Amino acid sequence: MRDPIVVVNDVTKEYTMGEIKVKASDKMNFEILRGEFVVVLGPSGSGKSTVLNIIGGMDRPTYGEVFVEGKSITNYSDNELTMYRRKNIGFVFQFYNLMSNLTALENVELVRSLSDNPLKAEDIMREVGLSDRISNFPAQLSGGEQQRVAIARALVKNPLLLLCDEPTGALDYNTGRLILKLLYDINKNTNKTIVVITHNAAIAAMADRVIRVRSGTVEAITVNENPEPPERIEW
Amino acid sequence: MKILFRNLLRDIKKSKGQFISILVIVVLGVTFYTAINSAFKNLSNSSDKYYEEYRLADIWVDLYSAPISIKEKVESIPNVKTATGRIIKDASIDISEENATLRFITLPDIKKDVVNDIVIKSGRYFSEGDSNQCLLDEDFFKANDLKLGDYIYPIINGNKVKLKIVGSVKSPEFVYTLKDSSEIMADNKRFGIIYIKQSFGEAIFDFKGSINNLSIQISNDSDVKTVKDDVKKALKNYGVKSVIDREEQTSSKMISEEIKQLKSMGGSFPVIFFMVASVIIYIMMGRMVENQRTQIGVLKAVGFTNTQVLTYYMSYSAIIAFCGSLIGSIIGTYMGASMTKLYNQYFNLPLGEIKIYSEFVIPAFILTLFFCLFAGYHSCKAIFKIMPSEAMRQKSPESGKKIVIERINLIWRNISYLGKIIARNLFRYKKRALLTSLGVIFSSAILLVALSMGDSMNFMIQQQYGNIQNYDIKVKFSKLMSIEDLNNIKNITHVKELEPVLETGVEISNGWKHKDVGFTALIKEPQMYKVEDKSGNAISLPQNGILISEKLANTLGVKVNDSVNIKFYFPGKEKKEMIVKGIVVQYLGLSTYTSMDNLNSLLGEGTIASSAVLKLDNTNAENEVKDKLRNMPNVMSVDSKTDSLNALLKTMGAMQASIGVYIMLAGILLIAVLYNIATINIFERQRELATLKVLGFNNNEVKKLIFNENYIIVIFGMIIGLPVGKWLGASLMASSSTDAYTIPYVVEFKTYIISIILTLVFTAITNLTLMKKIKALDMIEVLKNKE
Repeated sequence: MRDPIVVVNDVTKEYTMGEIKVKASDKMNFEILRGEFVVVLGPSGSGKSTVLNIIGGMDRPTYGEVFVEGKSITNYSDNELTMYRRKNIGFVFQFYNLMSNLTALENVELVRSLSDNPLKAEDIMREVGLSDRISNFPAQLSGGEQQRVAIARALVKNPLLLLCDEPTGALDYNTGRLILKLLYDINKNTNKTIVVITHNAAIAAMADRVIRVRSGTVEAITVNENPEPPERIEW
Repeated sequence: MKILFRNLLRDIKKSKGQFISILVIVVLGVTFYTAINSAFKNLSNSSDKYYEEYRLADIWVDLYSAPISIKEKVESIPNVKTATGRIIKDASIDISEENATLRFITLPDIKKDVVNDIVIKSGRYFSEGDSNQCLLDEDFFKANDLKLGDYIYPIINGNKVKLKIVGSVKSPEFVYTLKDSSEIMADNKRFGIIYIKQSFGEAIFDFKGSINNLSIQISNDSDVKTVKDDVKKALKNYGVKSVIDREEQTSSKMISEEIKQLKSMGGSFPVIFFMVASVIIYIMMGRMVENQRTQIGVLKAVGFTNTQVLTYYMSYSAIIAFCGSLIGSIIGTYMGASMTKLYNQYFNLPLGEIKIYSEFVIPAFILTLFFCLFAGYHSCKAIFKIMPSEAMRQKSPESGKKIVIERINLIWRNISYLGKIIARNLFRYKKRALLTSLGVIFSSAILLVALSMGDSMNFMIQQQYGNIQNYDIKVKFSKLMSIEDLNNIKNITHVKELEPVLETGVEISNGWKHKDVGFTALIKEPQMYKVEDKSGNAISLPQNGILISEKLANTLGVKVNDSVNIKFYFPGKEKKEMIVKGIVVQYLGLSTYTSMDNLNSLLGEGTIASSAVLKLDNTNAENEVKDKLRNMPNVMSVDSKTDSLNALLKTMGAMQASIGVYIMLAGILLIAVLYNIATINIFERQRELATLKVLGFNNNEVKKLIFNENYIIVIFGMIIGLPVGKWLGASLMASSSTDAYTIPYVVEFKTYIISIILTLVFTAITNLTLMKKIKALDMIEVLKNKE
């Protein structure tokens, strides 16, 4: 049996906007097991990004607690959160957010320097299929290629968790599928725990576990006994 | 347009810091412009009025002695309006436990309108009766804490004379009370003017029916030079020592030079600020247009014309110009008033009311508007090229490029990734980096100029009082002395060595070029009153020729081995031709030098001296020796080197203050420029910075990206700015050199270090204020949005 790598316990996040308090998440509870491919599914404004930001150490919950490998990260100071992100989390964003002044390889190397047990940058670049584009600048790469660099950058530090926020949101259908395939393969080949946030219900089919959120609450958690590889999914 | 304008005001409100930092620079420019110009106007008006009202002379004639009747003779010269004959003599006095020099000037026994009249500040004019009444120059009176009715005891021809103070006065002739043009700063405690009755003067100075000075006023629109020549001719047989006009008279020369300098500063200094402000506006508004492409596209799409959109954006720079000149004019006018007062502490002009000159407000406004709009237009003209459809689409990503230094593998491989980002970013925005460094260049140049002024003054003092004037005491005599007379002095206990000096005035000429200068004869190898060449080596005095200063050589257009004509003012001496044997360094005054032997063969009067310099075997005995000297006959004044050095050092305090002001200005300039550009930089790259934060870089690492870029720009700016400052300082020194003094330009090594440290401190201060902006970057907010 796999052990829970992340435990989200009654997490509530309130934002104060003027006089009104808005709850972006309201007593969310779920677990993510080691080696799982998890999809957090929900429409925009459902609170899925909020909870991902909290797991990723970019934000703190107003109430509730998050345990990562059994340790609560809720009361971490800013510095501790930075160190937590540095050592444990790989992020992939919708808009790639690469350093425009660094080449593809340099973008990966930059982050590699932060890690204690990094992987080899060239190996990762090969894994994401970009061996021949390593010395190109982001502006010289297509959206799909930029996202591959972003994934390589997240993986190179050999993180505990790979968090992807709408990784296909800015890509066309075919490119999006290739990116999902890449993530799927990484999960299957290396057993890396991956969390993908999306509003695209079709993607849920490839996940081991699907967490559906709506209006800041967890609506349902489904465990897929037989996840479909992305090449067989269409939307 | 009205609603658009409201939008603009809200934009300004959002980026207050940037707006204010540009505004500060504009305000400083306008403030200086108005302040300096109104101070100039106030001072020149006051001095003109003062000169007019109290009849400052146009020509002064110093003579050995002449009958009082020559006044009529001079008044008959064409274009001479009126003349006043006076006796002028210096004498020493012990006052406030110090030795001071008083310049005695005679005035009519009964008040009359004379040339070089006086203003009574307290007390009254001479009354009938007591002959020993005196009027004291107000500065001396106050500096020595004297009261009306006090008695003072100056020593005239070795005798203590008792004088009663009946009033304190000022005169346009001594607005600036300097003993002679070889002094730079007034020392009111140790030098003052004293006015006595004509009849009393004749009696105590043994001048029965004679005078030794004529003050002449000429009629308006007549040429001073012609009248001067006529006067010289008319007085040929009376032993004329010197004939000078206002351009040569110490006090009026100092004032007009100081005022002139103020005027040139009023023109050049503010322009630096305007230039820097326009550079910032140019960069900042260029970014504004770039960042608001979409908004510009929308405005154009809904039907605003290019001109309307341009007007909208340019009104940002117009607002800066408006606010800047408004605030600047107000502060400047107030500052102008206090600057006038500050300058006047040193001039003592009777200030009329301090006026506000609206005539400077308008040019200041036009100047500001011009600079702001010029910069604004050049950064906004890109608006014309923006197509609405294209502008509303997403911008193509910024392209990174390989830069030159990457070819040098050895260097590039050893630069960290953050370093690579900085290097490529600097090269990508070359123009901006260069323009930013312009601000740094100005700032570090101003710093160096300010600090090197101190170096130069120190160097000069050290040379003048350490090497050249190597004596302990200088005695001036009231008449020419023979060498035998000096033996009495040599015999005073503690006097170790004595060298005779003859100082007189001559007219030196080369063809039509001529100049009235000092003439100094020294022994052949003087040890206490040295003459040095450019490299600081003592030169011996020539037996058959003269040495002249570099400045004088330039004025006359002569070189070594050229011959010049020398005309002594001693009665009955004709012009002599002499060979220039060498060029010497001279910081104070304009003079020519020769040996005593040579002078003797020229004049045939034997070895004579007008003063002597002494060295003591024990410096503690200085006061004892001074007292003995003062009580000797024919001693006019006794000065020790320490006295004049201390006075000079004391007044250097004023210069320290102005150096402080310059340092502050340099600081404001640098901080405003860096803050502005770095703010733009942070805003533009917030996405990159936020990403780095998310990836696990901490605030310290992220801030390095911005801060190190600042440091690189600052270091680059200093590499250029410091040499620029050196050049600027040298030309400033050269242009401020006058006949009275030439200050050599010296920059000490430590000054470079201090300039560098100060610049880095200013940079660190800027970085500290930027730290907040970097800390405040919200990762989630920034990354959520599309660009």
